[in-house]
Amino acid sequence: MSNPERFDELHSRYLDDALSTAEEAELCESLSQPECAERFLETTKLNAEIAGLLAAPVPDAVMAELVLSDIKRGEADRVIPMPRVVAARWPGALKWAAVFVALGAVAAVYFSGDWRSTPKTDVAVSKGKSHSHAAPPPLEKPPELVAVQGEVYLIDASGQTHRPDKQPFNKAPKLKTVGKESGARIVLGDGTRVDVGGDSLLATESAADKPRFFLESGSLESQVAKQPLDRPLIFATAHAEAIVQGTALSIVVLKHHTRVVVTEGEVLVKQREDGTEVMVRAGYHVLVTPHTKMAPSPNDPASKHR
Amino acid sequence: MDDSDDTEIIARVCAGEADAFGTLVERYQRQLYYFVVGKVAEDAEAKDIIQKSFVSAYQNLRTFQPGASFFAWLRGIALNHCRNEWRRYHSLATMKERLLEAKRAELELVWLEERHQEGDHRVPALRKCLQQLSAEEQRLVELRFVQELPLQALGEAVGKGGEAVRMWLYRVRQRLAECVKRKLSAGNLEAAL
Repeated sequence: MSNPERFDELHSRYLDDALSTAEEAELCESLSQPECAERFLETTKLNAEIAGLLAAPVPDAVMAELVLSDIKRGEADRVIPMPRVVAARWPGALKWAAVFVALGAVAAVYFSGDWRSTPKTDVAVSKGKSHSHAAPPPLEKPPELVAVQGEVYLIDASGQTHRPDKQPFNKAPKLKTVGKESGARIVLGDGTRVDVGGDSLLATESAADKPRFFLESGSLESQVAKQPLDRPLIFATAHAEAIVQGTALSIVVLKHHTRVVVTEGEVLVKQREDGTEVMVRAGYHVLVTPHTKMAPSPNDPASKHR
Repeated sequence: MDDSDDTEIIARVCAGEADAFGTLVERYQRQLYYFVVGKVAEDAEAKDIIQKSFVSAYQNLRTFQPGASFFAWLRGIALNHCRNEWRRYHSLATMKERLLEAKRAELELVWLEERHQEGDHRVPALRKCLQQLSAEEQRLVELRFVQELPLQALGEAVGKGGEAVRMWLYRVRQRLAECVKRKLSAGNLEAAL
């Protein structure tokens, strides 16, 4: 590129996700010149390195747990390829068919009464607290992926990718959404609903008949049906565990912390680094950052994470 | 943490004590992360590759040569995963006709073939270079990369317009890139560490 200032302008926009399609083509063209390509790569690489260097590392014990869990559930049989099924490139008719199947599945869950009969949350999860209700029967059917939006990829235990269609979710222990507008809804056998947000990676670890969700990145929102006293539903991240008996909450994982927002009931939040716990009640949220004492704060009414 | 040496732990794992492998993960995952960071597009991919590399290492543990460095072996596995990741990235970008991303993947693959040896030194060098930034620049980096403020909010925080702050950030990145390059150049490698 004859104009270095123009190259800097375009490259700067690229690094900050502010490049138009026309500018993208212009920058791509400039990379045919070795000196531009060299500068592009050096600074782009450095950008990723700064982000990585300043990001909170995954605690050693958490990574060990993830690896051992992968090995134990059979993923060690084969290297798991990154999911690259592109839902957005399905033929139009297929796309619409998938939408109808997904809507039908959601409607079926709703009209079957399971959804509407989801018990309201009135149960605390603190240790030693007495509970008055009986535990519901164990889950009879596995978690199911009932709706997807945008680019959603599933990876099963053998590393195979699947079309994001209605199917038992426990056959695809990892779900990845790509793009801010993408999302997926999983419904558990007891009516618990888990909405996975955009740019998220969610893994499941089965324990008996109940999955334990591990949100590696991104966000989720969940309406949790009342759970058996001895087997609460657990949402884990690299920083935190949210132990839920029946409530509504959302969880967002950022590089340095996890935010747990409670909108109904109460959630026991556990800091994974040091094991400390705090009870977060409806209308409050807590940031979980390594080596920082957790202190629930009122939710911001203006925030979407109410 | 178990302080047995690597060979001893590997022998235990091969004898059926799978959980002992967790000790190796705890011992090397952070070091491996700093090796992989920058060799893939995003921090989240780096973490994913760490996980996959340990799983691959476990699968192939019987092929590990006793007496060799476990970390060097692991690093080779991770490097292969990085290559595979860029190949997939390239295929996907080509399929979606995102030519700039496809070009970037090509450049990254060439870099991995020719210059991956720099990998051990880049992050320590960058750490030093970051410390040499002015307090104001360090705050800018912190707001952008740690707090992940969008440009507009970043501009408000430092009293500049969004466009001005974007170019300022770019200059800081360029200076850091030059600083890292200088430290990695012949004769300066020791100083980078």
